[in-house]
Amino acid sequence: MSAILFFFMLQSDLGATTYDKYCAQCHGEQGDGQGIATEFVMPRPRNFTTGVFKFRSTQSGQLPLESDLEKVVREGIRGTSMPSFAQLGESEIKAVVAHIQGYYQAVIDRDKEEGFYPPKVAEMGNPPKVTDALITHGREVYLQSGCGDCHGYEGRADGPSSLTLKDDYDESILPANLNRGWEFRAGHELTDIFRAFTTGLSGTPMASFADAIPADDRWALASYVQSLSVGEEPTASAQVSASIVDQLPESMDDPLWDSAPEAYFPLTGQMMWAPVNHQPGVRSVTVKALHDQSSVALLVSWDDPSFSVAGAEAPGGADEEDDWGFETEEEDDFGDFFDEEPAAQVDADQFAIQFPSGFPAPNERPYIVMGDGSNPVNLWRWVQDGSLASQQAPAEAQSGHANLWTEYKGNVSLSSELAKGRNQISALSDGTPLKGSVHYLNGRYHLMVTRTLLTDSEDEVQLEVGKFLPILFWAWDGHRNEKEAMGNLSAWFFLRLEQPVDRSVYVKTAGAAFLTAILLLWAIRAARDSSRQEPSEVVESAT
Amino acid sequence: MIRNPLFQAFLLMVGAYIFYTYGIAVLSKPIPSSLVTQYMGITLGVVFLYMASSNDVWSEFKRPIYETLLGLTPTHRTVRLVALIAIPLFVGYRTYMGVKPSTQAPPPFRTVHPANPESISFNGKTISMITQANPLRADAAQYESHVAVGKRVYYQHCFYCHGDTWAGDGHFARGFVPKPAKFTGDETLAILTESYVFWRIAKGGPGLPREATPWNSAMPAWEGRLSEDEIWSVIMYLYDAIGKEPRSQSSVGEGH
Repeated sequence: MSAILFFFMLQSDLGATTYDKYCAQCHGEQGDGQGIATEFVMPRPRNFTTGVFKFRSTQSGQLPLESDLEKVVREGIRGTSMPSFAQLGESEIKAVVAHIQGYYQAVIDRDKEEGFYPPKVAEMGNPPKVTDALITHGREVYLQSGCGDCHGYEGRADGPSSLTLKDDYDESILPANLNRGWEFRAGHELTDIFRAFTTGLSGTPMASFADAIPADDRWALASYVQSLSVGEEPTASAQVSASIVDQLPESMDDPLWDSAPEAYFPLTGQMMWAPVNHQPGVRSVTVKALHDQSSVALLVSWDDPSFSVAGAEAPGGADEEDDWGFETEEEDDFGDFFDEEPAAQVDADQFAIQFPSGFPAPNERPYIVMGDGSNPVNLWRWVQDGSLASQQAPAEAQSGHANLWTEYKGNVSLSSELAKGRNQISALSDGTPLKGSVHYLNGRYHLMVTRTLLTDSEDEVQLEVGKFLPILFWAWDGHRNEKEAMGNLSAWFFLRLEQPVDRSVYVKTAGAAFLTAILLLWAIRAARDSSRQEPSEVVESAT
Repeated sequence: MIRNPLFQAFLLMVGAYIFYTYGIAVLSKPIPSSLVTQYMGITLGVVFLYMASSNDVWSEFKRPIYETLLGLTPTHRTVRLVALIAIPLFVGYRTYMGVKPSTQAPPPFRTVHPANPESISFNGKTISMITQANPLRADAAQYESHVAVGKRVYYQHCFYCHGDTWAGDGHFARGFVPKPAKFTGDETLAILTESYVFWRIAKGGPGLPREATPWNSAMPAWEGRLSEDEIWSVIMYLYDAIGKEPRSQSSVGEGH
């Protein structure tokens, strides 16, 4: 008996020390989610004392199993600050989960009294085989069940209710962007997605659909959501290659763009200078490029669920601490926030492409955050000014879903700026006009910009064919009040304008092959000559 | 056939190729393909040397080649035709790969642990990189409280890049080239002095010498955002957390 007691004491001791070493900094010494790092993580750390947990295998409204919590500790939560603690070892993980359960013992006791404890596991069934027909059916379920109200017509978290959602802490919370499977909190496997619909994510507007949507339809829905993206983040490309075309495309709809390779670059919040952008709004860009030896065209795309013009009232109150979790569906009791908070104003969405100023040096670059006095950068900046024209939803979306469709289009001008650091930016009056067009479609911006390779201003970047030209991308989500240096940026990568095909390559290749063939023929001839002179030797050795 | 010297030489070359590309990789570390080409050249030379060592071996060695060149039988003629097409094509391919313009981005040349200056100026105060030890270690009774301060500094300013478990894998790390330093393992803190670490924290990316590509580093310069004591505390916390000792100041002088 005393041995068992001793074991439990050890266990709780191990749980407490492990918790203090690894968990308390975010989740708080009292388990209330108020640690020293709380305001620097994304999203807000879990408050254990309420007993409300997003990721469970249990029925809606019930507490999680120990194994659910152990899984979170072991694997972490993708797309958030919660890392994997797999290196702790299983006994520590079990002990720390037992310790965490102590913080919501009152909730366990209440559920015991009411007959909800131990919690019941939600019915899962077996996943079906994913087919194109199932995915198509899943899309119908998606649109008919109202998923798009929060997650948007194409799943980019841009639905009409998206920006007004709040969680149990009364904090703004964004629905999951279903085009970024690697950020799905609960995982990108078919069963993970199905489980999220089935159990709901407690404490968030993402309710359980176990009763509202039949299991077969939920599997179809899961296969549609899974089909929208991949489960692992693409690796960062090293460069964006611009191939040569006879004439640059006039618009971003030109089929010439289809064959251009797409580069992927991750973005992070700017953290080199205060204020640090702890809740980055734009997390990657994709880039294509083409050139015709006199001008270059770049086509950049990035996700932003909020189309923001400076000065507009924020739908849900502009809030830098947005969560962007795997959660959806507004619940009725979240509807009264307008009375509580004064409407905040949003800033303009912005995008900038950063190059070294002048002729880029091969081995030295300007400082990533907008250069410095000795090594300035040239920024090509677009600022959302509200001039883009709203577009009507096409016929396919008209039948009942026109409210989910958000589209804006138009030609824009970009400013060419010289920056000698984040606080020393000046527009270049002698700059070359940067022609551009922007298309915002259902949660995704597309920006096309063209410029001549060389310009008359020595402050502007001079783009030489065949060189590796440093390039870096900035994006600002105006809804999060991102502006100035508090934006999102990539690392330095390369833009490479492909060289015209050099004939000498083919001459050298053909020449080498031809010479080798001659050499072989000459060897055959030499062999024949020698066999005529000494026929006996060959005949002897051949027999 | 197995007794034919040409066939044996062929087998030997195939075996040598497999050994250079896979065998060495298993035994120690893989070697670059240019070195494999060089080794294969040497091996071929040795094989020829052996084959030419006696007239009998040499004539046996060259006989199949000679017969193929002459096209004695239909089989020989087929082999000859195939070789006449395949060998020039192969040479052409290798030439093309060699002369076509490279589209590979140039590799980053970067010194990971650049040489430190002799001293730095921190908010006007000179701190020697040669002799300055962590001043907070002087009073052993205060160790725990300094580590506690350091932990707070780490989880308010550092962990989102350098990670909860000090492995350089915080939630911001995915966007950086180069990646944030990994403190666990034997390649960073374990081989550095505390004054070196102080320099790197105080001056950050912008304070790196040119060979360490200061323009690429996302490490902020914390001078002005953290006090001297806060930096020494976070250094103490880090060594405490990873369970390693800093390299001692005196061993720097001796080592160089």
